[in-house]
Amino acid sequence: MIVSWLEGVARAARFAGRVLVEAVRPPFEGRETLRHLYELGVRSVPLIAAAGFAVGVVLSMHTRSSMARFGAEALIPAGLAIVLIRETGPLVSGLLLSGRIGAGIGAELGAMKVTEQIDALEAVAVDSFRYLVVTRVVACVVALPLLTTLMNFTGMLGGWVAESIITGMPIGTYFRQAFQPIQFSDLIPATLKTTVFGFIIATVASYLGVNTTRGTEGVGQASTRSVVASSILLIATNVLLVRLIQFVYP
Amino acid sequence: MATEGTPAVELRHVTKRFGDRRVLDDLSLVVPAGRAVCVLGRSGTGKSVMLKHIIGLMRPDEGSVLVEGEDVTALGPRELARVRQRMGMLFQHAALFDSITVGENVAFPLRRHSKLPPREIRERAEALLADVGLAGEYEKMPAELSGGMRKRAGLARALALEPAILLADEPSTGLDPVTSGEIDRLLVELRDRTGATLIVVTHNIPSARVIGDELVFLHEGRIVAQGTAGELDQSPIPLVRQFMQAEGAG
Amino acid sequence: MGITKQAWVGVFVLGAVALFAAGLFMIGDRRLLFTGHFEVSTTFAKVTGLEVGTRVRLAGLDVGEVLEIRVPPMPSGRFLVRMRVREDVRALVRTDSACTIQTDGLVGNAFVQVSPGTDAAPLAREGDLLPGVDPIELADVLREGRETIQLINSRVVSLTDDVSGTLTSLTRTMDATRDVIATAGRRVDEFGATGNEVLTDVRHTVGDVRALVERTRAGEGSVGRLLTDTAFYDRLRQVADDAAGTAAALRETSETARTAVNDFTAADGAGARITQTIRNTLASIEEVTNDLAEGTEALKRNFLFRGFFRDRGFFDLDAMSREAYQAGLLERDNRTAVRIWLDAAVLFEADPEGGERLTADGRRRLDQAMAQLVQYPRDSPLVVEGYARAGDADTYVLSSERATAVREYLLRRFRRSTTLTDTMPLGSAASGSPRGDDTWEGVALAMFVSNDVFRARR
Repeated sequence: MIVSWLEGVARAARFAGRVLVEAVRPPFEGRETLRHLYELGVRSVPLIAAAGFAVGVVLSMHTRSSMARFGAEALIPAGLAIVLIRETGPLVSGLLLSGRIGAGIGAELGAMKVTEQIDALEAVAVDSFRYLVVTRVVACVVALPLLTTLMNFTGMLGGWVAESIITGMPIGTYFRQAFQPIQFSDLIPATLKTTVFGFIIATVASYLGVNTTRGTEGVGQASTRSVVASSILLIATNVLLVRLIQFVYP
Repeated sequence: MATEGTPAVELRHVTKRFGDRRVLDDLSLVVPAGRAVCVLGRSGTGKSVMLKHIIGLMRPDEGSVLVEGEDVTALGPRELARVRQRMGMLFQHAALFDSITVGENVAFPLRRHSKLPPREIRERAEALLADVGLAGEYEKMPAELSGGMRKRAGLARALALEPAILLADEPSTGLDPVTSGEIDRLLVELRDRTGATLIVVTHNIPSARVIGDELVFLHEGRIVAQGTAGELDQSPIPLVRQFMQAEGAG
Repeated sequence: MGITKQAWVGVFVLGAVALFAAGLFMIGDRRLLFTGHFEVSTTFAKVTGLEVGTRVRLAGLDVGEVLEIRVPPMPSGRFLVRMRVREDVRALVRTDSACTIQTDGLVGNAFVQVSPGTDAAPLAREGDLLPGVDPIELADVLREGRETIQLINSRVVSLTDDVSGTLTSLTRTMDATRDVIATAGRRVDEFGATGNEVLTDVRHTVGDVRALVERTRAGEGSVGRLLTDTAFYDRLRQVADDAAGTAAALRETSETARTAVNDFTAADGAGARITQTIRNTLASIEEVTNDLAEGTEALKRNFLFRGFFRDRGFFDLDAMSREAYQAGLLERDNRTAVRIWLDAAVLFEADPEGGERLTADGRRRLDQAMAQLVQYPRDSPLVVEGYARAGDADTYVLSSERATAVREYLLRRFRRSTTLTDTMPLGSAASGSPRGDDTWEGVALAMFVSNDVFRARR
């Protein structure tokens, strides 16, 4: 039981390693990658934008109530920006996308597996791993920081809306205040770490999808397990990444 | 490359185990170029597994698989891809890529492996579709097609690269006799026109009689009988005779 | 994949990248990466809350950030802080622009405040070192105020023991330094407690004295009455003791005040409260001291107590020395001695034990003498002076025995008050005796009568 589980982990790790190797080796599946960038990236925009906006509004309201206790309402934009940019934006978008993208990839590849589409690809002399997995991982790695940036933006937009309803603060002032305490070391590492999230989401989901067995039932399972596994792995990795970032940017 | 007299496909003492079960058990088979071979046998006797070995989707635990004289079990990905371009495979459920149109499915191998301009590829794909009776279905999605139409589309895709060897896995399964007959006729036409080697896995005896120059009977991973339909009708093995007489089976 | 999808991917990628770039730009803009700037430095002994990237403000405007904090090579050195400042405020940054580290609100970040320089000072140039003013802390305020406190100290030390002098000086000094001192010490509280205790005592004393004076003035008890009242006598004695003790305590308190002031020059706690406390206490001391002085003056002016306060004693015949008596202690304060001389030969006869005793004639003679004195108020002090011939070895013993015998008779016969009837053995020294040679053999009855009464009876 444990042995087989460990074997599974080892296979998944080999799979991830292979993704890394194949991703940098030409020829690249440019068109397919773009297609996934559309499917995974562009089509996630409404979800991320809406979620970011809502998170911004809610965070702003929460920080207002606690900051007001100290008479520090002036720090609300800055506080929101720090919270959003450093952690909430990357993590929330990571988790949301592990739901949307992870489930999508798991189900899609699972279905392709059980309907022999993967075999069919191989049969027409296409490297299914590069064509199906690497393209998705690359698209996901590219999409995550972009979507996180979008979430940061709509989050701050939401924060501004919540703020302007109460204080009527102009948007320019809000964003200037919000960026007051932000350093490059807040924005860049936090945003770039989402590439790791993207890699985890797409790789885990692809691995589970490609290894789907037992027909339609297996497809559903692959989808669910993709979300669960990538979410957990993402949260755990986040802890390590945050520690690492703090180590590099003390 | 194949020289005159080299068999199109040759399996040498191929053994494949799934767990403890020997799906292929020291199986040897020679398919001369231009010959149409039907592989018969009950479900789960390793017919499909044998096909997947030929096209390199599976690797034997023991033995070797030679396609036009090249041992596909020893080839790297690029060489294997080259060999695969000489083959076409029709999957049991057609295995059309359901994310692209029927036409694009057919055009897919051309896009991947030919240097033709896109417009010419499209024309070729439309012609292939017309050949299998699917003219005008180019823009349809696979899910919009019936089972028989999908199978014909799958056949069109398998033929796109004008393969020297065509593998067909259960071409008539799940189809009504009329549709099934159409598929059989298409295969025969194809062989007559192109002189391609044909390996068809089926348990539809009428189909086998129509298509096969030679019939191979598989049982428990071994070839128990091999010969023309007439020879197998006279087989000393009761199982084979019984099978041959179950005319409508499928 | 259609062209539209590709276009969308393009919009998506470019849009997000643009947003990210905008974020980077906003940070960079704040960090003056894209605008003109110049560098200046300053030094601090402490860099509390400062780090690379800390904002630099001038007149409330964000004008730059800290680039580097260089650690000094030795403990006595100062941290060098390099700052990047926006070009457009250069006109305000002069060579005398002071830099301080300040905090944004209660919980805010630290920032470097660059004060605009004076118009006369030259513009700060690239790389100039601006003066750095260290963060002001409470302890530093005290240290700065040390000079002033030293002044207080020296003044306080030079104060006389005179309490009011101390108070005046203290008050003046405190007024001068009230704004500088922000320290409070436990010592001060102790001092306050002691001071209050003393004050309470003083107030009691003053109250007592006042009561005495009031009663005397009101004539509620005449002098005689006062002198016959034993309880009052004891009370008065207590008051006198208290007054003396209070004076000592006041001296001590003013000393404590001085010590406290000395101490808080070195103390580390702070608070404006101290000044007030000391001033309040000292003011109170002054007030009650004035009261005490006033009350005591009033008592002193009262004839009965004149001189009493001078040598801190009471009209105690028992305790009065012969010399004091002979010096006319009882005749001061407007009293006159009415003296009747009686010869021993008339009064006494030898008794079998070798002593003397009153004769019947002697008693008669005493009765006659007392009849002369009855006209005077009964509570006038009466002293039986005993005399004996000079040359006898036991002249004082004999004079004492004679006086005692007469006093006993008088007490018995005339029910004289024991406290107002006393003896005074005077030996042979009898100035003004009828014999004319300033000697006498016998006794003299001396009644001390108020001059007013004496003149009236004449």
